[in-house]
Amino acid sequence: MDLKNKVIKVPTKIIIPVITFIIGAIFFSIGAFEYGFWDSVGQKPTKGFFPVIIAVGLMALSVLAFVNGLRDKNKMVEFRLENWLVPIALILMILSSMVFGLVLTVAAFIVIWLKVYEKQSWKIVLIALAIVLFIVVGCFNIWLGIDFPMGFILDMIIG
Amino acid sequence: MENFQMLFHGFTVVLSLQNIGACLLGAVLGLVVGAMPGIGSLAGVALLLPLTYKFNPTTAIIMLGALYYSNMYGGSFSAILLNIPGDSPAVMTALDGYPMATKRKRPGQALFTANMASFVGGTIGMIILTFMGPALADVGLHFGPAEMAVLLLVAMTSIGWLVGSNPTNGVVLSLVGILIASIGMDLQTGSPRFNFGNIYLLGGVKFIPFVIGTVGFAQVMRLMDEKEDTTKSEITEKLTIRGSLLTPHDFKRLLPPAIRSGIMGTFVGVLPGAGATTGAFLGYAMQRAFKNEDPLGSGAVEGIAACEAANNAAAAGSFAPLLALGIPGSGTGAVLLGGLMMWGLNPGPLLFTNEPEFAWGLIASLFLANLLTLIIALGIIPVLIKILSVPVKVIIPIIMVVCLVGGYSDTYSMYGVIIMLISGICGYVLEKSGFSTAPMLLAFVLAPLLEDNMRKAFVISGGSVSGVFFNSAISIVLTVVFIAIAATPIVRAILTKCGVLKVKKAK
Repeated sequence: MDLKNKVIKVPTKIIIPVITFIIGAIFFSIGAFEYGFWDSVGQKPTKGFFPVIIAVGLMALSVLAFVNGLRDKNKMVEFRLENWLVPIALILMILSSMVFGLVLTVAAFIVIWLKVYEKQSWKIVLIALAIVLFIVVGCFNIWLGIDFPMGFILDMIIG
Repeated sequence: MENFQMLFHGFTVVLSLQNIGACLLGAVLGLVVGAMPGIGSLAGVALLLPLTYKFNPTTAIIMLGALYYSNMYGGSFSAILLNIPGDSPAVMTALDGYPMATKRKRPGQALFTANMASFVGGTIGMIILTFMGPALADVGLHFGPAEMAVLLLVAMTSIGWLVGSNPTNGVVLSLVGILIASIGMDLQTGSPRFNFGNIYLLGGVKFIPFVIGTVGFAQVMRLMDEKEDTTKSEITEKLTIRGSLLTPHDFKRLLPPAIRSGIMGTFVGVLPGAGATTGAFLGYAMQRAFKNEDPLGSGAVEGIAACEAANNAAAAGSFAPLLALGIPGSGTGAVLLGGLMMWGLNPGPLLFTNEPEFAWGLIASLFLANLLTLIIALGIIPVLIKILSVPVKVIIPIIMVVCLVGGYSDTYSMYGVIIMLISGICGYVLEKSGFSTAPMLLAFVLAPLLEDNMRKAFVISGGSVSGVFFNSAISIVLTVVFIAIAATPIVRAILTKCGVLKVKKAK
């Protein structure tokens, strides 16, 4: 399938206000009915006070944004399917790093993305790989002292 | 005079080997990331935030300041050499920068002009900041919780109103940002709030993964649209430092517009939502009123100097409200503020009194960063075309990996990566649909401060709304401004419906 030219149209200008309205409604109901709004004994706001005010404002403005979205002649927004490879690749990296470790995963990802998908020369692939390993291992792991997951295979081997 | 003494004290803080090193590192990274096509200052600062983990708070803040400031230099490089502005303030730079580089065959001088004007504008902005910051803080000392709450509301709504094409969408996302920030612990009672039974959410939505996702990861998804674009420069001359030097005559042409725009840009930078882009536009527009040796738009030194000085001065000027009142003027300023708060710095009227080392150290580091960035910016002229010619399709997987490890490094778990991924997808969809995410970031950063002040104000007023919004002259003025800003979209919608206002037709 040719992802590069595949486009889907979604009325996100209408969908987003609906979602923000629902978010507002959830925060309003939990804030108002579970946390309360005003402590009449202590004469002070409770922890639901601020979110409830914001949630009411959000619901009101979401309605306005929804109406604006309905009137918008360009309400259908085009999304290229190819762009979604980015989050899909990241999800695969998250899963892979649990098995093979994060460093090995990002190294494999760079090679696969640039060599297989983008069909770049080995010279460019190796330069990009060196930069990425410098960032991940050199900067984050050695310099900043962040331990990345080694993956359960390496964990099993090391014991 | 006292301000200069404090600034001198700031320099004694900054001028240690570690701090100079951090400032240098921030300047180099900010410059390179700012110069790379398609990344921009907002995503650049967000992606580089995790690098500050290594340092103590003062050094980390110095590096952050250098990162932010040097990013402002980088945007002009691709505007001059490729006619592709690296960020929005550089749009005006391209108008004269590119013709000077191509038609007049003076690419090195065009870069030198941009760098020198940035330096002059930035220096002017910092000198004004040295006085204006503490003066604003003095004004801020008269603000109680009620005044601060209304001021923060004004800042949030004005950014939502000014950024992006649709003010309603901006304010909607500001409110969403506030609600996201309320997840976690209630700071006044220490009890859980909106964590939906999730143990990870008890600590709230983490700032670094959230911001890396919303701007960095979303930007990578957007870059997929541009990955086939070629960024070949039309410039055939070899760029050298010696060949880029300006003549004394060029300096004479550069200085007057740079000084004028520097002063104007600083005051533009102080306004919320205006920032570097507005500064650059106004600087260029103002230059039209003055005499130019070459017509503007044909490669005039004056044109490059006016907008570059103005945008760097605005970047410096925006530190005044950020430090003195805790109010950032832009999305990038919000990311910087979040970084400062992460390091325990609480910007606001008491900052200059309670934490002078931080405040003056940061201001002094801006002076140092300005000088270091100028030297580095001039030094990298020979290799600039190579940096700018890095294909977008190669940058994409590298930034993805930076997003992944940046998200992980904040929480030492995949929770941070998942937050980054979700906020990235949301950021991408929102931006594509005409919802600017900058107001959401700003609101996310300012929400705890707003809630704290608002709750205190209501306790003081005994629950009276008028006691909060109309208890003093400052509150009344700010409330009127807030209502005017907040009501504008509604009034505009009504006027449009009644036919008083006409809807702009999309081109």
